[in-house]
Amino acid sequence: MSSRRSRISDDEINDLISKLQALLPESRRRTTSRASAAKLLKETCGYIKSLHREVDDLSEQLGGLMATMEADSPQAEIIRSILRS
Amino acid sequence: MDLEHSSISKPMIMAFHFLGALSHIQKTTTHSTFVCRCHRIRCAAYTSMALSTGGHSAWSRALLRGKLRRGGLRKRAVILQRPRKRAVRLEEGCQDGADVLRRLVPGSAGMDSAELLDETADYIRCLEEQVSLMRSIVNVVSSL
Repeated sequence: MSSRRSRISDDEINDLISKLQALLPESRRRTTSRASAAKLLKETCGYIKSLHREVDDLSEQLGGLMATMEADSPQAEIIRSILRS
Repeated sequence: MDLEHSSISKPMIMAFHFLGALSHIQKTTTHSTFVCRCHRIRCAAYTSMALSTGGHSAWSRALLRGKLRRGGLRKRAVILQRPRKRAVRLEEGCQDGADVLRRLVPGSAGMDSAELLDETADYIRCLEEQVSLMRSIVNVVSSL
């Protein structure tokens, strides 16, 4: 509304919003429309929170798996497999 | 070193850092609790994410600064206390969403909307790569 906002133009903001929308996975993109920036921001926040939760879950899984691993040889094998893929 | 022209890709850098950290954690947590080990793995995940971007984004610098300062990472994002006088605002209804986003993306508290969206895009991409890396490791380790 005020002229201060035009330091970055509305078009550029729309571009960035489309870029953000393109980042959301299909399942979330369906529920938002391009016109609704507020909804898109909400979806994005939800998506970031779910990614944080996944990192937490995967850390727990890894923590559990590492407890059962022996030292040395399994790790070398892991590193080799990851780098091969 | 210019990472963009290097032949080592970002996911590879992330994998090297994370696997190295996991190896170290494996050696040093044999007598630690499960919770302590998981916490260290989570910290290693965010650190390797931040290191893989080569410091090009504010969120990665904020994560690494937070880690150096406190010797670890909290679950919540690090927030820089740096108020800005003239922030570019999205339309009125978006302010709440933008504020929540600023709390989620590290180092973005003082940014205007355009920078915030850019940082968010970068942060989401890196988070996805980190999640994918961790999933592959879990798959490999659980099939051993």
